[in-house]
Amino acid sequence: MPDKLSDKALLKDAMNKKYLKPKDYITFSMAKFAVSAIIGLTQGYLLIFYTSILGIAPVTVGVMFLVSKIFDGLNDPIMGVIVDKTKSKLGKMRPYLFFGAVPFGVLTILLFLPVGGLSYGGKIGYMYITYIAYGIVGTIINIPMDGLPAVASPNSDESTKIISISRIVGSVGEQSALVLYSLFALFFAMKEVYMMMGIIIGVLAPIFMLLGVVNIKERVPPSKIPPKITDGFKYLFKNKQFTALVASLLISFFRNLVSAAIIYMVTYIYSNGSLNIFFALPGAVAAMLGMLFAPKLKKMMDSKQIYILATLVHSAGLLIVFFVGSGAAWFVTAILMAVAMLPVGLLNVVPHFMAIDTLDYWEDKTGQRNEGITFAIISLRGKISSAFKDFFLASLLSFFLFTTPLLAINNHAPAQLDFTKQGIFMIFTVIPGILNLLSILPMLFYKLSGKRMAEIRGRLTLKRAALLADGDMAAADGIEALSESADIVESDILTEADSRRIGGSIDE
Amino acid sequence: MNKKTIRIIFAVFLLSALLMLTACSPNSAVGGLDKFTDNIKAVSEKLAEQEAYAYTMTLNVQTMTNFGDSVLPSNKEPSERAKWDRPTFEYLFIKDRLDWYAKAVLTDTKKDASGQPVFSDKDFKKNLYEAPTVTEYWYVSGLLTVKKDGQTVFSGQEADYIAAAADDASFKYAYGNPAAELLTGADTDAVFYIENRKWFSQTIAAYTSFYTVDTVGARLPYQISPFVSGTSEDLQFDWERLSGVISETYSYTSKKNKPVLIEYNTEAFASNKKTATQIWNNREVTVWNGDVTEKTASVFRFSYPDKKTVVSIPKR
Repeated sequence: MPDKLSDKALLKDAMNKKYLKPKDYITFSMAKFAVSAIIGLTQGYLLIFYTSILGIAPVTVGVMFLVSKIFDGLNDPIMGVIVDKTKSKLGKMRPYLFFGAVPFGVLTILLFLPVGGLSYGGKIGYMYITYIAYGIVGTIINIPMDGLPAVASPNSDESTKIISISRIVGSVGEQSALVLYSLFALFFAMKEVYMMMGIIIGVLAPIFMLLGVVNIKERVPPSKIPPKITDGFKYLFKNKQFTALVASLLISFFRNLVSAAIIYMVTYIYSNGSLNIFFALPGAVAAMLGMLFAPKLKKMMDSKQIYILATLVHSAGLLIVFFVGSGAAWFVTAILMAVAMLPVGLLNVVPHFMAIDTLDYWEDKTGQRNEGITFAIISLRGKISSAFKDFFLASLLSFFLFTTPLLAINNHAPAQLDFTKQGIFMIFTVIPGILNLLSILPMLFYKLSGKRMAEIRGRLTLKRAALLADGDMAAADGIEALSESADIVESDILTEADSRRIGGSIDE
Repeated sequence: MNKKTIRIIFAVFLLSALLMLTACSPNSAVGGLDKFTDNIKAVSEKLAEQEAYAYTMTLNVQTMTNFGDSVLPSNKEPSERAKWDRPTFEYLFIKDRLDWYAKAVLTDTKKDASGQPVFSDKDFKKNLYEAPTVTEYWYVSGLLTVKKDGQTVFSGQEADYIAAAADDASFKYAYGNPAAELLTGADTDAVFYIENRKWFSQTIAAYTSFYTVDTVGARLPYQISPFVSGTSEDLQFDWERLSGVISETYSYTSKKNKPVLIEYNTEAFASNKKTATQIWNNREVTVWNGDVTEKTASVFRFSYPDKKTVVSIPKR
């Protein structure tokens, strides 16, 4: 077996080869924009649509969201394994995006239809059916969408770049519903506003998604060993680097208290709900700017260092806001908070790089590659973290004696006690500032940094370059040819993996 | 599916169930009320024992003056284009043994001929204000002296002044020792929410109560009112049969039983209706709602004599 690592010229060529063209970045980012637009629309406006337009009681809507979130969370790892088991001419991710795009758009339209002719029970049934169907199709779309950058290019710099750009564009997409809402609300009644938002986004999003899917290719060959459904959770605990990453991300929910507390800050401390945009938007823009720095920083330090440093800087920023105090003018707090949010962009994107690193690590170690289950677990983690955040926020507000607005009173914003206002300010600053530091602890067990990843990538790049050496990738619409050549190389990899196992303990 | 997987799935369900259960905690009014009553009695007695103390009170009042204005378009909430009267009131109280001093500064809003507040903007956000009026009270050796803007307007027995000053705006907001009067228990049937907290060396207790007001003006604690249903933030009022609801939120903060802060907030909600035609079936529907028409927020901050702080009644 040739010692491919000694062939430095081949390695250098393989690692520097560019596979992605500008249109790949553009079309994939537009697909991400489209999916994020749908998510932004449903997350921002569905609750108020159900309660104000359809007239469904808020507690009924809350129970529906809880039930569907639990059901949705259970679907994610199942979808992850399904993706990993998929073999098709289009790849293992693209078929789901291709066939799921139109249903995703149709369901978006159905979610915002003002079905006034139905009875109250009929409206509730309609709400359950459409939202759970939306959740299922959303899982079918989102898991492969998150995994696609990992297989679009064997060049890790290109993967990093496409992730960063698409996430920034996706962040903009999330705000598109707000823009449409602001525009339509000037001319139409609320019922028509929501319906038109649903129709416009529901029609345009599938078009952009299909453009992205048709254009981008899967260039990293899948594992030849098909995983089982139960392998999903086993993988989480077997791949200790992935375990450390997921554990850190689970604990990081504390920093989401900041954005959750904004509406309480502006309503009860500054007594001006319209200031919401001056806190939310700069924070989102700052986070996007932070994402722009990710590829450059990655050249100077490894992902673990970026993650820890960004966490420390973010916490320091929050503590500065706390010490400046709630008595400062609102714009002072807004500016300081925007600066504190800059590292959050990095914290939003770097874990994605680290997830790909754990994939590469596992492929190098065992020959298996599990994009589907990896991003399914990360998606599930996101939902669990969101639930923890909501629970923790509710507990903190209750501890600080928050007087809950009554739903029976229009626009009810009761006066809050001094103790409560202190508590709201602490939820916005010092509590996430201190508790977010806990997310660094699992990261101390994450060993995939610097030199080690360079060695792993070197081995994998050579392996993939050997597979792709004969093809123009733009012409290779399927990966059957890759699968065939992978058979030849795979026996080498298994032999290497076997040698390591025989030679000593498995280095986790 | 092996045992480990089953254990993991079971753990996830257990965690979810625990999270849901903790979110469904029952109203703690009953148990907390006894503790609140005992604590506030101790605080009231401790305050009465103090030879000297002072506090400042800030009172913010907002009253909707054009509620039910038929000029509002039918699809508008009463709170839109509402005219709010927003006077401000500050009160300083100093007690020194049996004597006391108080200074009240009332900044009232300018009004037009019909008694409606006047604004500098067309959205009715910025009230125009009169010059502040300052009323000072000296209760020394059993006699009361009152000055308004530096001029003596009364000197004599307190009871005579109280009888004569009933319509005075400043007197209506506060007179005497309003904080001590607030250190009383709560009406059991009206308490909706009550909690006690320990925060470092401080004790904080708060409750919210509701009273319904029916169409003939009779006031009932919400728990015995036939026009209330539901619990927690889903509390529902039969707005068609009520003219309004009054809410009171009361809180005190104490350190070693000495009051440090008292807060007293009230809200008045008035019922109103909206009639609209449903586009899809041309049916006219009347919906009854409740809207906030009055809000008050009083905050009392106490200070006690120590090495750095001197509490004494100023000279007349």
